[in-house]
Amino acid sequence: MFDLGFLTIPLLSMLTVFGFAVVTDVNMITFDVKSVPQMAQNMGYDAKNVRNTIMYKVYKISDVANTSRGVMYSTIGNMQQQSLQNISETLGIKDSVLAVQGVLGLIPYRLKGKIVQEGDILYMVITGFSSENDSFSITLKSNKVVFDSAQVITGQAGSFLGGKLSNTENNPNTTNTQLITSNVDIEIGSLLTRAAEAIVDRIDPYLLARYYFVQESPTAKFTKTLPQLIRCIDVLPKQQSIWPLLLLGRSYHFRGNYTKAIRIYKEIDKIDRHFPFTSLRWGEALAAQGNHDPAIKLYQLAIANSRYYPKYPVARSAAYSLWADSLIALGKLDEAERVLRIGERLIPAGHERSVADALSHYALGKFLMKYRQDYKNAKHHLRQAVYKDGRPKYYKTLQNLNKILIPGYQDYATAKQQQADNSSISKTSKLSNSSPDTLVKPSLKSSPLVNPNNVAVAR
Amino acid sequence: MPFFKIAIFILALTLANPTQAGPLTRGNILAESFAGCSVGITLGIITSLIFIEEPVAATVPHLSIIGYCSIGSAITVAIHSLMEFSYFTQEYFDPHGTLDTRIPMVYPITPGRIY
Repeated sequence: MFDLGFLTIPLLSMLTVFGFAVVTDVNMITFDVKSVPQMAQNMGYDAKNVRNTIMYKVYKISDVANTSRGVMYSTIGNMQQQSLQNISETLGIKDSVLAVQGVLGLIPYRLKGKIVQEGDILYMVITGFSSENDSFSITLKSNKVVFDSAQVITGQAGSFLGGKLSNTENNPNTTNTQLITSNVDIEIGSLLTRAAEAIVDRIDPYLLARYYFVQESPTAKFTKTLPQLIRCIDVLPKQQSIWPLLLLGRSYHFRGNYTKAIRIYKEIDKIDRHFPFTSLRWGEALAAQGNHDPAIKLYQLAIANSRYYPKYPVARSAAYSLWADSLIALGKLDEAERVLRIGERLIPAGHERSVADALSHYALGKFLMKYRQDYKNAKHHLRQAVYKDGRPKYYKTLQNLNKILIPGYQDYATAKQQQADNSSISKTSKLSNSSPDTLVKPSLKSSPLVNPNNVAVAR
Repeated sequence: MPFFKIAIFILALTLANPTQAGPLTRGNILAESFAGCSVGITLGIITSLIFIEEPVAATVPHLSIIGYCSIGSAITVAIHSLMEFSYFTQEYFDPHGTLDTRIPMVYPITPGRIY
């Protein structure tokens, strides 16, 4: 017999690693798709694909929303990572692993879903359970019939088989047939997007409101954002309602209704007078009305209040940046530079530290470029901003600086930009779910109410 | 034995309350002890590989796998309980709750809302 004793340590190590993975590599949501109609499977939407698409869309909502509040325990983080799930699926022990994770209280939300076809309509039914034994059910119906008689195209089979439509006249043997184009692909895509939004709405409605806000802020229409914000104000605990109220104030600000926005900020102030974003946005609304001196006082208050909430470093950085903007508006350039340099130092730790850091570097870099013509240092700060938070706005400012510094850069950059614009236009026309960056960029220029700086720091 | 009574009380408290975060996991105390056991065994394996030379090994106390597992579990469970107690007291003194959603909530649907 072989002595297998030498395998003890490797086997034990593997088991330990796997055991550790069971308790650490956990998705906030598990989603199990039970059945998908054959027609959808033919379009490539099998159960695994449906599950992965919904999970990715939920993650994307969280990612795009990017709120200072944070996406912590009960919400969605690292949804895109499914390494353990993939391994356990391969080993055929997925159900056991999920059962163990459930017993250990590691999965806050467990969802089950199925897509069913009734006649020409698709339905998606989702049932969810929380680790607190709460349950909910969502039923979604496809917007259009998936087989629409209006979309039936009559043609001749031979012509399509050959791939040449014009060939039909020359082929007398072709038979008349009906080729049916369906809405299945579009409808399932839409159904899954709505499913992801519905799931987030039930477990973290503010996150969905913030997602809508980011999407709609370039146009300042907020058709989806406002009803969602009202819902958040209704259902969230009092202390947490400051987040949707803040966003409601921002919505009014973006529409140019500064008085109404200030009224909302006053309401937030009654709930939590140390919340730094309140004074920050209140000051911003005053500055938009031209009242820079009181605005500066509110920015200073926001900086002071940041000590109570060090985990929101974006509020502090934005306050320094907006304070400097007001000083520039008052013609106090030296003081503005001093404020920006203070803001750029000592950024407190927090989950959005890099975002705050980037904002400070960007504000200083832009100031040095525009008002001091100190291009070398401006470049350093703008590059830091791009490294820490790759917003297109930061990158574009860096490009503008390079246009000044490097001879011939403009020609190349213009050609490159033209190419990028063309590609982005074709992508936008193809995809209904464009990335927020491509959505934000062009509209910012067109909307006079929207200050690009606001979008960058909007929380 | 007051120690066991306290231990049982803490165990009941942590199992009854939704866990917010532990040193290793976001699960309940069982998950924490499981993770602690894994870490203990891992460290045990590593130390047994490092201190394989006889003169040095003689000075290092050798524990069984169960021993490493128990030590790892005990340490993490203790930290977890302290963290749990800290959250519990925070919520007691701040009844409106924190600014972030922590407990796995399911919010009611707005009447008439169609997804």
